[in-house]
Amino acid sequence: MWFKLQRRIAPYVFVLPGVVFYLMVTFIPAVIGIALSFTNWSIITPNFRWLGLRNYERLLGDQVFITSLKNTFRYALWLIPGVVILSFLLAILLNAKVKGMVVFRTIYYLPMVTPIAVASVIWMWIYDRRAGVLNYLTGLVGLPPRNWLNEPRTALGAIAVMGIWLAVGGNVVIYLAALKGISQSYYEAAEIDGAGYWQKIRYITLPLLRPTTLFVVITTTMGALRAFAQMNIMTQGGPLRSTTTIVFYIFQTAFTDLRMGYAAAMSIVLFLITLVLTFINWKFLGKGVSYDAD
Amino acid sequence: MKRHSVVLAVTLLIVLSCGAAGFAQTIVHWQHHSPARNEMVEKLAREFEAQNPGVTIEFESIPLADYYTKLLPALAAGSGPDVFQLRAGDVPRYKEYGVIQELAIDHEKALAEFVPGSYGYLVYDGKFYGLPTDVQTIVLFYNTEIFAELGIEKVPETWGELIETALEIVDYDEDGVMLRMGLAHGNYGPVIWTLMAQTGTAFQDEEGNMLFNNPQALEGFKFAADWITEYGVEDPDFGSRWTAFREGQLGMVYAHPAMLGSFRSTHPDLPIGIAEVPARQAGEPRTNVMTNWAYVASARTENAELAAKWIEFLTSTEAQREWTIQTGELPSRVELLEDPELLEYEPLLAAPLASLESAIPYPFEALAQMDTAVRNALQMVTIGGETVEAAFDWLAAEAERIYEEVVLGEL
Amino acid sequence: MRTEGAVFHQPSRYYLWRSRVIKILTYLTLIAIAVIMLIPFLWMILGSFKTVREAMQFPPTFLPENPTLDNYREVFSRLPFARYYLNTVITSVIPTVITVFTAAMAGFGFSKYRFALGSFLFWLILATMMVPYPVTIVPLYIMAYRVGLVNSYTGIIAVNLSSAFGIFMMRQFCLSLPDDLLDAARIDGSTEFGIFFRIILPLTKPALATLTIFTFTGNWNAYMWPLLVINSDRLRTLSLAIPLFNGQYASFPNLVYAASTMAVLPVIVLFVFNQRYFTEGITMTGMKE
Repeated sequence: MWFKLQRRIAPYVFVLPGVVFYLMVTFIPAVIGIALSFTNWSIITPNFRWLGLRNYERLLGDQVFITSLKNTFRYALWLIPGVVILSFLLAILLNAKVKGMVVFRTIYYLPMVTPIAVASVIWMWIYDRRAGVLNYLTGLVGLPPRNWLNEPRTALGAIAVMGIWLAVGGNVVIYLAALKGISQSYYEAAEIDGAGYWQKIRYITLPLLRPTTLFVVITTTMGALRAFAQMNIMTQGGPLRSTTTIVFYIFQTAFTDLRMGYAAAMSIVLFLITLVLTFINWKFLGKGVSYDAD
Repeated sequence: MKRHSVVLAVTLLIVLSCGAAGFAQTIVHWQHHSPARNEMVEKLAREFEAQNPGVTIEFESIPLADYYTKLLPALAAGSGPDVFQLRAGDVPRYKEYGVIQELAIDHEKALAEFVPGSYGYLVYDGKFYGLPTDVQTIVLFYNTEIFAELGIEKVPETWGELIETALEIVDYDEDGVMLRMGLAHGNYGPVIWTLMAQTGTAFQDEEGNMLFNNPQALEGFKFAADWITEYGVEDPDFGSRWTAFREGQLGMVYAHPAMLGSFRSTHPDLPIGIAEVPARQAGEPRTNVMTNWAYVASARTENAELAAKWIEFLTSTEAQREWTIQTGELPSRVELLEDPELLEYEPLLAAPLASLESAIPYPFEALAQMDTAVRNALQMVTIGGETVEAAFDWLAAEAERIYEEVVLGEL
Repeated sequence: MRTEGAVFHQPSRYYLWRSRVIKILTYLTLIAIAVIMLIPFLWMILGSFKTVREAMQFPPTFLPENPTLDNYREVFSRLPFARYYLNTVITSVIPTVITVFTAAMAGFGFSKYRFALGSFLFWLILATMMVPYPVTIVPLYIMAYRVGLVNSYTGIIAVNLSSAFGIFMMRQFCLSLPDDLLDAARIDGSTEFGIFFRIILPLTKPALATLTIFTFTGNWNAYMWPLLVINSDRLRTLSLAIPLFNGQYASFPNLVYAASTMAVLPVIVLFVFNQRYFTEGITMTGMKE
């Protein structure tokens, strides 16, 4: 009897600590944030007024907000395919019984471990027009030097490349772990049937990795939509607002302009966008291949 | 008899505990960080503690980039410091919001002792809400070796001479890549406003209407853009103007006097000269824009008098003299403007101290936003290819928006 | 899949040569990418041995011309760096251990049980993960202050006891574990907790190792929340200390690099140490709706 009881309550016991600890520091502040988006709170003022939907109306006409949305999407479009494809390819390469796998894995993980402030400064040097490594390399193939971070056309892409550099390592680790879990018997069966290298990847590896890919895509998407620290350090949202992402604008509005209510409204919009995108990703990639483990 | 001694004992106990409570007072002091300033304030804190037994100063140094990010939530929660720094332009708003209180000092005395340009934003109804610190003006730094090498004998004193000299300094290599810049402003707000201010324009009236959208000020704005587009003495792709100056690849640069200390700390042998900024035309004043911070006392502090005392100590003449010597930041007291000790310690301080006299306060309250706006406006011309007039119109409109949304804070 | 007339395992020299070329190309690619990953990091380490002038020099040098240990000496003498190390260890290790544990439990619970509220709670967590932090951080700080958590170790630890990312990840990993194993254990009389400790935990070692290193890295490098919560130098963490080597008008990259190098070492050590758990096979599949 006790046995049955503990079986019934077990899921709750397992789930509750993690859920409660997480929600207590995120849920209530999030709800407060939603409430704030309907006010004109300025952090330090003791009084504030209820504004209804005024903040949201204002968003529609805010050119900088719309620009920041566009920039964030462009950034995400650079980042997500780059990270997902690159980390997938690297994981496959590493998985093929390569010598020194430990060393490679460690090196790929290094960017994630470097403090972002330091990494940003170093990449600023890489992109420097006069002394940067990138211009040196492009010069070798005959291309003229460019001021990568100071040209509206290239600044965002340059930061996105840095973002890819940052995120690939961790995702390689995740993909590797997943790859290890694909039973060799599948590959062996395919080989007997005469499958070549690319066919094996296309018909076995890719489908079985779909769930992992979903995880990587969703987390990378969330990360891309949240991009802020690099823009803050490397370009301060410029030149000409070409690297102003949503969170950068939110941060500025909240902590420099002291317009917390308005920043909250922007945050809610970002939240809804992220929710929709996650849902779309889930629908697209969510149909995983399940099999009984042998 | 017995009851009497009990009463006596209790009274003594109460008096002693009150005394003890009165003795153990703490002031929490927040400041934005620089290693030199850190040492300075530590030292002053120990001195103050020695002079006021029972008082502890708890001092916390925060990197400038994150200063407001940390300060604001603390003020919102009520966990903030007793004494802290604010940009001078923020003081009016914080006063309106009731975050800071008027200082328990002798206001009449203060009005006379501090440089007027430094307390423009700090005084209301004759009462001080903060005392000035971190005073910076704009001066002209130049490389004396480059001047000697090119035979330039006169430090430019007008805009015309400035460009002439800069053109002499500019140097290219065979492929037309600039090797040495003549002049730089770096799109930095206070420098651009200085150039505009030198045309004699007004900036803003009391109702927040922008007055600078006129041909006069446009001349200053255009002059700044011309350094890059017209005269070619500044190359925006050159990289950091500070590194360039340090490496002798930049002849002249408009900068805060504090850069002297910065240059000295990394390149002690750099041949530096400092002069007041050139005037627009001969005979006109060498107007420049002053930026400063203020020490304020939180409205929530329990030790208001002690806070005021500490603030006064921090901005006292002796403290400021030492401060200038250690950190290179200018004093805000009138009597130090021609202090022989300062000039003896660092002769290069002559021009910065002189510049205080023709300095006007930063013309807007929302400093951070206006600096960004003017930088964007200039880049619209130099990178975006817009006309100077179009960019300037945009700047005026943006200034009004900033005033409405940020300074007034109403929707 | 059947391909007619497939050729395989041909001992022909062409195929041997081709697989060797592919192998070389593979190594070349991996090495090239490794170099790109490594250069910024190397620059940081090399810079920590340069003088301030050389670190700022233009055109920059790669290898230090007069390598010096002075930067490291100065980092330790100017600020109580050892104390910062201690603080960072305390505020990283404890939350990591707790987080991995609660995330593993929750991931298991969400994946292997069907219960009322299960789906709802999971999506609630996922959704809350998407709310941007500039807006949640101020209410959270005020809450923390009201509860008296500001300026203490608890203040940092208490908000890091669980992770939505971790729960999500552990759920994925646990989904693939065979149900028969669990049922068999139940028939043998094991309690649910017994199953968790004796079956689940051992089987998900690689996932746990991955989560541990991710969570630890996040806590070790955390900046925003410690910035708000820590008000005194004796509690300062490493990531807060690094910017202190820069001035307002001058930056000292050589010192920052030295401090950063030292801050980064423990994480790398932990990662290398963790590697052996990665190589064990795990299964991850099946998004069951």
